[in-house]
Amino acid sequence: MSGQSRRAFAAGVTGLCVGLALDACSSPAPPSPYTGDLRTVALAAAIENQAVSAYQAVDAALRAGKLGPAVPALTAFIRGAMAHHVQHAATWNAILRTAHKPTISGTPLSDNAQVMSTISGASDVAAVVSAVRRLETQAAQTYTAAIENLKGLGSAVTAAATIAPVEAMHAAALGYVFSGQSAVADFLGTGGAVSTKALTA
Amino acid sequence: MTGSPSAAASEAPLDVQVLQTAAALENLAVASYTSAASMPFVVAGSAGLRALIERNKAHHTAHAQAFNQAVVKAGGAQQHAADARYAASVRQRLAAMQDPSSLTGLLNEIEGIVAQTCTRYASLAAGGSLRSLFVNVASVEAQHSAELLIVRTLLEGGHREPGVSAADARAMPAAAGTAGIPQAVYPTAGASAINEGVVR
Repeated sequence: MSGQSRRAFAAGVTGLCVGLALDACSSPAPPSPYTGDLRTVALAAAIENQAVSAYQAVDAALRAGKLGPAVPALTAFIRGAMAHHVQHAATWNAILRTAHKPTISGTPLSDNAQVMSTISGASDVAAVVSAVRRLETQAAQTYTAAIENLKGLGSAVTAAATIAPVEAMHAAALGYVFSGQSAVADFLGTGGAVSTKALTA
Repeated sequence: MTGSPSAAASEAPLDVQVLQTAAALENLAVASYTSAASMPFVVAGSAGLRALIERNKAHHTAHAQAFNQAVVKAGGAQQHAADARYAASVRQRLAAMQDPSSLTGLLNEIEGIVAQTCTRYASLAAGGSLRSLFVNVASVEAQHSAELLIVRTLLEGGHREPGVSAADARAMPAAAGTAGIPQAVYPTAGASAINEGVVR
């Protein structure tokens, strides 16, 4: 192959690659495997995984001394709450598995980077408690809102009903023990519920 | 807790039965907190515990109203009486109450009964909005439980109430961190029978 031919070939290959890349960029995202009730279930699994990641980050910050001297009650709380969230994620994923859908192993949520950034940027106990308490309240409110719209998936209704109060307890305990103030309202509400639009899977 | 639900099955629709029973349990909670608020060791004791008792009582009053409004929409009569299964035994125990730790223990039992019942009924109710109402209320009663469990743990350990500063948070014992979150899945084994509090 002559030098001119090589250049022409190389230019052609480059053009093809650029074309493919542009084509790939402009292609619509593949459809989500989660629709209807199962989209709510997938959202719930992602929320639980996010809570686990958040608590792992707080635990690491505590161990590294980033939040000041040790806080024994917070360390104990994190251990307990994180185990609960692992179990909740397994519950939601079991429903997906039964429906022959892929399980959620990561945190495909549109706000995840912001949540993790807030936690990693916190420099005191009050800031991290506020961040994870918000996640707990959101989770409880999401399940309270979701149960109204679940159509026919009995296992999801039961999961929402039995997990929401646990997340609510997490939120209450965080508020009471670490801020000295109870913030329990007469109704839990659903104003902070996460929409299925936040699910990026 | 002792006693058993009436054997008489109600002919009322399911939603009416569960709403009347939920209202009856809320009325039991209101009566219990009303008694608790007037106990000498509460009146003369911690301002934090007094505030918790008054606040929880107000919440249960609101919940009873919500269930009674819903039962009217469902075509039933409002339930203004306290749950008959528990009313007498709770009254007896309240009358014998001598200290804040025992009191928070009893109040937590009552919160647990209401929360477990609402959690169970959320899976039974026919309509989505009713399911959501039950989970909403169950979650608040569970939060009451969380705080009462923490208060009791601190009382029994001789610790002071939580404070607002970082130093206060560091002074909390490890047990306070887990006392309010005893289970991963909210139980329903202690839920009341659906016809337990129906208007007869």
